[in-house]
Amino acid sequence: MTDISPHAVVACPANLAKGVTVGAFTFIGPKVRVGPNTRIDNNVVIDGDADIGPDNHIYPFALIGADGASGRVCIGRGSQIREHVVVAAAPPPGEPTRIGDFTLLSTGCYVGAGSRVDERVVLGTYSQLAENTHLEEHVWASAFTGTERDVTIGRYSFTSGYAGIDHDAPPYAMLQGFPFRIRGVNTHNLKRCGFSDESIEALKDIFRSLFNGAEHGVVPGRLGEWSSRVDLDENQRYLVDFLRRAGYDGADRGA
Amino acid sequence: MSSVTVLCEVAPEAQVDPSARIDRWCVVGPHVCIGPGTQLARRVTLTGHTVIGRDNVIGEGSVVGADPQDLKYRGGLAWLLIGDRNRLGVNVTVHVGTEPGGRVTHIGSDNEIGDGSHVAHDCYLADHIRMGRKVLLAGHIVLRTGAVIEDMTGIHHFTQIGRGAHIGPRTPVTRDVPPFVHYYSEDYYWDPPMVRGIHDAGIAAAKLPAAEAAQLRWAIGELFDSESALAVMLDRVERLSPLYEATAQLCAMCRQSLSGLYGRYREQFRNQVPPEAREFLPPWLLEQVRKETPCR
Repeated sequence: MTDISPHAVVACPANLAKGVTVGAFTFIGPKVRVGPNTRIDNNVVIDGDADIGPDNHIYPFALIGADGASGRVCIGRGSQIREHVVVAAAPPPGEPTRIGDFTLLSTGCYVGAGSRVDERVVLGTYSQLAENTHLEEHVWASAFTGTERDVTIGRYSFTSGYAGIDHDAPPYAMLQGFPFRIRGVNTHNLKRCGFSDESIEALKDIFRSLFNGAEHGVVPGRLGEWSSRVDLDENQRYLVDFLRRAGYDGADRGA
Repeated sequence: MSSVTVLCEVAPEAQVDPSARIDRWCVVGPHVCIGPGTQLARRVTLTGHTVIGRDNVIGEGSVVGADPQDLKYRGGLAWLLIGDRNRLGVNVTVHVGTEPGGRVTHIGSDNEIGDGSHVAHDCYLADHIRMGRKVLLAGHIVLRTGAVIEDMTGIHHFTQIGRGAHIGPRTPVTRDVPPFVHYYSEDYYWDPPMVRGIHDAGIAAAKLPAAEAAQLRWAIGELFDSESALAVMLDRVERLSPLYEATAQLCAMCRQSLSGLYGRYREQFRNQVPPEAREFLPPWLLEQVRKETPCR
């Protein structure tokens, strides 16, 4: 049974599953699908071709599917989309803007069109993601973080407040400033996510080798040495592959 | 008779004073109490266990009393207390407290909170505070009387800002800020923010006697202009006789910060009712908080 405020506007034929609640003065467009038990507070606007999963909570004044009725947005399950958040829709034929499961988009965030926010990401207050940004899983972005277009922040990374991510940022790292610098391994988040001490030490080894003494990017030649080794654990391999994909071993550093 | 526009949703259980004014498209939850003369502009949302005093003005699109963003919050009973004559700008967000942080967010009286600012869970704001636009207070912060915070400043969890302090625009504040100082960074990406001078306007607003103000100015100069360690200079300043109250408070706060983790004295109050609860909260609420949060 849905619970829709008499002051809300739900355009036909929007598809609301069982247990969805819709607050007063909310507008839901005709091409919107909402999964069970999602709670949509008052004054929310959801428009465009939006697919919202179950158990989400969308707070007042969130705007999902901005930039036109034909744009596409996909939101997973169990996420919190806080007050004044804007999730821009991606116009076809590109990939839709995607928000993964159990993410927290804090107050005043902006997620640009075509961006991808993977599961369990925390996006701090007033963070701004430009178009086609990709945040891999478990990224923790502090308040006022900003990204340039088409950049990726690797999984389990942490950005400090006011960080500006202007090129692809490696996984497992603590990032600070603009242009961002790598301040070490994000030990706190890794421990919280259940990484063993051995895994963290292994990541610290490779970080020291790759980034210590490098003004930007990695120490020349080191990435090739590490990628040719066969004794890397899963996380080290992921880091090396990410850096190679992002062009850290050449002049083209990141996007 | 309170002035309530027809096109708004006010829960019948809400306690709205007859002289309060609620404009169009506002939503007021069942556990909200609004005092006399308070005005809600269009599209304001009041929710949670929120008590608002008299003659406040809440700007358009503000959301007051929503759940905290803290991932430790489990939906327990928590309050937001707002005093009298505050002005909240457009799109301001204020959250209630969390269970581990003492369950209460408190805003005193005569404060100005700029457009788009965010006051997170378990913050304690005293009186006569001025916040610019898009100021971010993370959780568990204490702002003392007369603090001035400029636009787009972000303040870290568990920080305390001293009485009459001035924080410049876009300053990332991660440590306690002493009273009556200017505090900012020259280059907000790479230059760490620090004490940059004496906030004369703050001293003037505090209406300190001339001798006390003079001693305070001298003490700030001694503590923060010197090349010696702060602890050494504190020993020297504290030996003054007479030591006026403002100088004593300055020294006490510096000592607290030195003793705290990462320069934040209030870090030690994680997962407990903070001492500010006794200072700021009315007895009825303090009693409720103690009942809900057994001493740990």
